[in-house]
Amino acid sequence: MHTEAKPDNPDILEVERVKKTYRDERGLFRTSGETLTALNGVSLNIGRGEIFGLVGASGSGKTTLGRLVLHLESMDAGSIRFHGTEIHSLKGAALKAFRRRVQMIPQDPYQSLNPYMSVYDTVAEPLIIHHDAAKEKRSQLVEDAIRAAGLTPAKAYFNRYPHQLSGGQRQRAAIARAMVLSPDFVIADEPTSMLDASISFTIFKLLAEIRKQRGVTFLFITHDLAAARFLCDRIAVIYHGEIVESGPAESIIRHPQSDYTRALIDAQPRFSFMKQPHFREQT
Amino acid sequence: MTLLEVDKLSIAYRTRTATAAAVDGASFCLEKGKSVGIVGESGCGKTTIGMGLMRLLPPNAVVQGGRIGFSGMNLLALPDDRMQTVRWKRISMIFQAAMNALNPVHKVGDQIIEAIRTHYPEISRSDAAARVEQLYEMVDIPRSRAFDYPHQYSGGMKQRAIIAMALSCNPDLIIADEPTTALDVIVQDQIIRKIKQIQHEQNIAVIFISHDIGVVAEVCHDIMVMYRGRIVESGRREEVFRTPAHPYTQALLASYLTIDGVVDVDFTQTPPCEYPGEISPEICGYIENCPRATDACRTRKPQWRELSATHKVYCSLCE
Repeated sequence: MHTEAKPDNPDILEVERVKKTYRDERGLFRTSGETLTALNGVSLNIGRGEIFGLVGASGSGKTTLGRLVLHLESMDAGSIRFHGTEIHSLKGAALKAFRRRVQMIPQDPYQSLNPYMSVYDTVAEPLIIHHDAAKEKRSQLVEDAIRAAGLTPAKAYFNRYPHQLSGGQRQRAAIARAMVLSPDFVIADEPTSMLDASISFTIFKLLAEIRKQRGVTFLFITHDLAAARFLCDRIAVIYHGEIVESGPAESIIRHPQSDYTRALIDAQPRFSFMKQPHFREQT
Repeated sequence: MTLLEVDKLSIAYRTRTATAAAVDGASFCLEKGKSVGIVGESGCGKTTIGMGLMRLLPPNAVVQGGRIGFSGMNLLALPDDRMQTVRWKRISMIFQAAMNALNPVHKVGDQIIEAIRTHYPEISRSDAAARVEQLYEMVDIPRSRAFDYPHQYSGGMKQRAIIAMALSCNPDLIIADEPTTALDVIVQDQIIRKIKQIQHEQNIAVIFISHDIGVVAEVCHDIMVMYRGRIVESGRREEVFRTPAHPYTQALLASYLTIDGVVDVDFTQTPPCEYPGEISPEICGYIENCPRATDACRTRKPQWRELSATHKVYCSLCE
C-alpha cells in the first residue's frame, strides 16, 4: 500500500470525533455495567513533518489515542485517516504495510527492550518482520539507525545487551528500532518519563534532529508542557477524553484559554523565588 | 540548631573485581526544621548518601570513612540495636518507588500500623489505627479510605500513604528519595506542596533527593549538586540558581526546560549522557565534559572555594 497524500490534503493524520469506551470487566461473567469513557469525540489533524504534542495528565486518554492511531485497539466511533486512508478498515497485508510506516517509541526503556536480545538484534527485528532488506543490506540499515539515534560508534553497540546500557542509551536503542524502517510517522509516548531531566533534554534534541534530517512526523505524548513547548509546533491539551484546547505551542502556553491548561501550567516548577527580592518563607 | 552533620562521608561498592567509589568525601549540615536537596543524575551517589544515613546500604557497600553526626550521636558508630531506635523514630525515609512496594495483599492502613507497632510495640492496635486516621488527615486522604487495598488507590494517593508512613513515628528528619518521580505534573505539584506544608508545620527536617533540579528548588532551602560521587556545589537555592558556579551546575540549569524561560537556556551546553571510564580521585570528575577545562585541571586537585557564607563550589577553575 502506498496511498499518496492528496495534494489538497497536506495532513498526514486526521483524527475525527473518535470515541473509545472501556467496560469495567469485574464480576464472574464480566456483566458489570460500569463503563469508562477514555476518549469522547476527539478530533485533530497532524501535518506532514510536524511535531504535534498531546498534553494531559494521567488518565486523560492521551495514551489511548496513541494506541488507536497505531491500530492496537479498536475504537467505538469516529475515524482515523492516515494519508487519507481509514486505518481501522485495514486488514492483512495493507495493515502490515501501514504498521511499517507508523512506528512507536515506548514510554519505558527498562521494560520495552527484550533483555535476551542484543542491540543489533533488537534494531534488526523490524526489518526481518517486514522482510525489508536483504541480509547484506540489513546490517548497513541497522548501523545507520543506531548512529542516527546517537549511539556512536554504532558498531560498538551491536553486541551489547539492555542491562549493559544506561537508561538514556536504552531509549536511544528504542528510537533506533523505531527509525530503522524509515517510517513517515512516529508516536513517542512519554519517551523520557523514566529518564533524568538532563538526559531527557538530550533525547528531545535527538527527536528534533531526526525530524530535521528525515522529515518524520511526530505525535509526542507528554504531561510536561515545558517539554511540549520546547519540541512541538502545535499542541492539543486533553482532559477526561476531550481536547480542551489546541493550537501553536507558544500561544497556548502564553494565553491558555481553559482552566485545565492553566492548572497544568501552574503545576510546572516556576522558580518563583527567583523573582522575589527576599527569601520566600516556605508555605 | 544543627540536627545532622555529615563529615567526609565516603562509601564504595565492592564488585568481584574492583571497588567503585559511590560517595567521595561528602560533607554537609542540616539545621532542625530545614530542608536540603541533593540533585544529580542517575548514578551520582545521591541515593547512596540517603541509604548510608539510614544505615541500610546493601551488603557489598563499604563505608570507607567519615562521620554522620545526628543529635549528638555518630550514626556510623552506633551498634545495630541502637540504630534501630533511631530508624523511623528519628529518621525516616520515603524510599524510591516505595508506592509500588506497598504489599498488594494487605490493607494500606494495616501496613502503616505495622510500621508504628514495629517501632513502638507498646502502642495498641486501636491506638495505632487512630494514629493512621490522624496521619491520613494530614496527607489529605479521606479517613474512610485508610483500610482499602493498594490497588484501590491512585498513584498520588499511594504516594501520600507512603508519606503518612514516613511520618508515622514523628521523626525529626525525613529522607525523601525521588518522591515525585513517575507522578504526573499536577500530582507532583500537590505532593511537593504537601511535603513543604508538613515540613513547615511539624518542623521536620527534610533531605530531598531528586534528579530534577526544578522540583528540588520548589521544596528546599538549600541545594547540593552532586556529580560522580562528589558534592560539587552547595548553597542556598537562590544562590545556586542565580549564580551557579560549577560548570556542571550551569549545564544542568541550561538543560532545564521551563514553561516561561526563567532559567536562560544555552543550547550549546548540555550535560553528557555518559560517564567516561574511571577517573582519578585526585582530579575533577567533570573534566572530560567540562567546556571550560584547562590543562591545569588535569594536574591539580579541585579545591573548595567559598563564594559566600553559605555558597561554595568544588572546582579548580573557580579559584
